Amino acid sequence: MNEVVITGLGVVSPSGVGKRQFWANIKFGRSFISKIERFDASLYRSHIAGVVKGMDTYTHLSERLLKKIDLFSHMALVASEAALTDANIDMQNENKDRTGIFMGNAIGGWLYAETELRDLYLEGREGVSPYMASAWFPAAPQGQISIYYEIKGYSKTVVSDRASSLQAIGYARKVLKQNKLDLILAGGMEAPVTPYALLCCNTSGVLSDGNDSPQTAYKPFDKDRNGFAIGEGSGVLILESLERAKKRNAQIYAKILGFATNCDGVDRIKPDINGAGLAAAIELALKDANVTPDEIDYICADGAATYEADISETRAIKKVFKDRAKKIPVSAPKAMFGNLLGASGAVDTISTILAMQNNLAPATINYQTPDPECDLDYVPNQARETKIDKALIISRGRGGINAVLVLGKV
Amino acid sequence: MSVAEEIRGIIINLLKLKPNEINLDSRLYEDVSMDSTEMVELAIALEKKFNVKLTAREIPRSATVSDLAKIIDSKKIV
Repeated sequence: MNEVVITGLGVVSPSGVGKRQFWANIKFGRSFISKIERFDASLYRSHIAGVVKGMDTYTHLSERLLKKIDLFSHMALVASEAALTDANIDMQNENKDRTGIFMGNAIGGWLYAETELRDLYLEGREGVSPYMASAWFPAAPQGQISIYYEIKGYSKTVVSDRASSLQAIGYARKVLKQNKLDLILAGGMEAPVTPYALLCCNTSGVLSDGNDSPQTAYKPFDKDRNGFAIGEGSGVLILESLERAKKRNAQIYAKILGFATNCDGVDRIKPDINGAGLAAAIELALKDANVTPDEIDYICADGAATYEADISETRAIKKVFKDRAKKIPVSAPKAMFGNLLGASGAVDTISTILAMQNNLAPATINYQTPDPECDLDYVPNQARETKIDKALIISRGRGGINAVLVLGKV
Repeated sequence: MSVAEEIRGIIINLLKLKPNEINLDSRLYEDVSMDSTEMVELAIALEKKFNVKLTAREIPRSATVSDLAKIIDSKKIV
């Protein structure tokens, strides 16, 4: 069985495009949640979000391609290029039959789809762009990445709500472990800042209505929490075997030690308040990693900032880590840039890798009022220096989907 | 402006090409690398512009811009 490592990072997020800008903003705890200006969202209960700025500046794509794809594919292509460059990989020199793409997405490309559906009802079927068919669906970015780099190996798009991209990374590792591929671009992308997508997120009842103060609206684990703010973006990681990475003298960020996923089976939106399912997933991931709870130095939490989500996540961590639970830094950096839904796990993996590299636990911002039921060390408001050799990342989807990834320094 | 020149302009606009990337002898598939969906988009644009009925399937794989003009001309006469 191969050991699987991460050798390249590409990030497109409200906190910045590229790992340096992203990490600088995370380190200082800056919030990038603001009022939505892309369309009039003022009548939505929650009308704040993390939005990516400056795509025109960062893009390497032609106008001819851009008019055929949705924003979520665009962001995934920019993140893929950044990740490959970071990993010092030229796809022209790779075996494309042995290269794969594993991406996660929750809702598809609605910015493109909504415009075309409006035209369908106003102008009839001839008003719809022929690109609509290939632009909107969740696997569209996988297709675009494969065409752009002529990648032909086993690939997959995971649609599993907010757990999508962490699952994609977990499955990618499994495929590399079994030596079915040499190289994988793994991660996710999401573009939910559109009228219909925002409506769907609002009707789930999990979004913050702190519209008067967008930067402090998303407050995970705080007693006054009232849901999360959505965000758009993409995270792509380059995965390969440790052996291959060493052979080509690649920069190795981290080893993927373990992964597990399961379901609560309790409610269509809310997680199990007792956190039993998540605790089981954490235990399975640690077992897969052959790591004891004592070895985990940092936990990147899902931090969805709803009553059930925060309490169940806290309970799950306490169940697994027992007396040590309160000594482990647990934070939710996504409060700074928004919950990227299907892309959140990939971007959390990137922030965790940068946290390990810098031995700095990112803060949970907007933490003001402690909740007696959430009594862990959430690294409130300020990043903290702490040695991080092994870390755990949690992603959870609606309906009780749990995914857990364990990383370790090489 | 000839029909062929008009078609060339439509293709430049649809595919966001530079004018020097296409001439009247350019083959749509081989030289301009048009894919099947771009061909559908072009057929719809030509239908609207010239008020003819045209589907992407009627455009041969080897067609040039001038060939397309001939197809449009033949339809206009009918």
